[in-house]
Amino acid sequence: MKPVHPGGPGEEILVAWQDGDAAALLDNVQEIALAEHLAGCARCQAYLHSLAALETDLASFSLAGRPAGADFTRQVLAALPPRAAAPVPIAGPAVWWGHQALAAGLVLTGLLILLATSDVMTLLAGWWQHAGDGLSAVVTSDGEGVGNWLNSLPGTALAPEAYLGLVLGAVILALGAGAFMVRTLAAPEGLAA
Amino acid sequence: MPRLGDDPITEADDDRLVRRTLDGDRQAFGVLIERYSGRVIAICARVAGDEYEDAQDVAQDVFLRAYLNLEKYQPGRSFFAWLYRIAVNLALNRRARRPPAAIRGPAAERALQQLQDPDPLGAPEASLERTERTRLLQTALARLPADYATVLALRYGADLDYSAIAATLEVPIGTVKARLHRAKTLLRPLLAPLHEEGATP
Repeated sequence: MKPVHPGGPGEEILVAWQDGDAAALLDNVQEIALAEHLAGCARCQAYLHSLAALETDLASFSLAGRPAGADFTRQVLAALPPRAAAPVPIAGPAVWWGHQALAAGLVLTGLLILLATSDVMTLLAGWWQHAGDGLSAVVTSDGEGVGNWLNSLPGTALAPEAYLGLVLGAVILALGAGAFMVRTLAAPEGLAA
Repeated sequence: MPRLGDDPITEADDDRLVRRTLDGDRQAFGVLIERYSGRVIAICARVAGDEYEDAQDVAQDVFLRAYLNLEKYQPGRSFFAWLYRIAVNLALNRRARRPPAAIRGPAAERALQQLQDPDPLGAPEASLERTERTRLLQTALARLPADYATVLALRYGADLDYSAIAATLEVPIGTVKARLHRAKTLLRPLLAPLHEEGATP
């Protein structure tokens, strides 16, 4: 850093001093020492005087307050090309809740179909009980024993129309659950939490 | 009056206006232009050393580029800093394409001549109008390295505060201050002929 005069403070220190930023470069003791030096140094005073004059010139340099021409905005807007394709807007909270309600409806519908057409609760209870019985009886090294156990599962005794209800209900339930998950991930900001 | 949600469009925040623009609402972009055109033109003029009218042409290009690249703006960050960065980059490109002495206009040429060969009688400053002093300052600025000229132009030409300059240039505030201090030490001797005793305009 070039000193203002031999043995004097650096030029940038004086600029920082003039700008009120010296505290970032000097500690308290150094600031006091600089203030004492400046009070008695004609060359540093002259330097500060020239900085003040420079500041005056720079202050008149601003163009920020000058308004743009009256037609500026219109000219810019006229020069803009049409947007190729507007991106899909993020759904608002009302739309999001609507989608969630639809997904929940699908899940409920799927469950109802399962319950109504294939007596799912009985089926599940049968599986649960049979699994316990079967696993305790089956010798895992005996392939025939496992086959017998699988063939005796309650589901194998269902009527064909029950299978249709089972599949249809499962598909609708899965669609609803999937839609619910996707819409939850795409929740508008502030709604997901 | 057109409204965005519950807010009048002219009072909507930048991010909302950007979103509306992306949805095809040009009026929203017009509000952004109205909001920032003054400073964008100032940046173009002071960083590049252009006349105000030429700077308006560059500023139009700034807004056009901003519009075409609006998808790249990240909502939640500072829109004005993003916009000013485009302006600074375009202005620096213009500045780089011409040598410092080539700043146009006879007044600028006279100012440059005074920089290089101040009148020994110390009289020319007295006859300099304020606009001519500004041209002199602009000429001196064009002789500074681009980094230093840019912070001076943003601070004094466009009236940006330290934090806005830091956001625009994507540097820490401490770097902005250091560049400003250094820029002034470089600028001071270039303008010294104007500041000698008795040279007050």
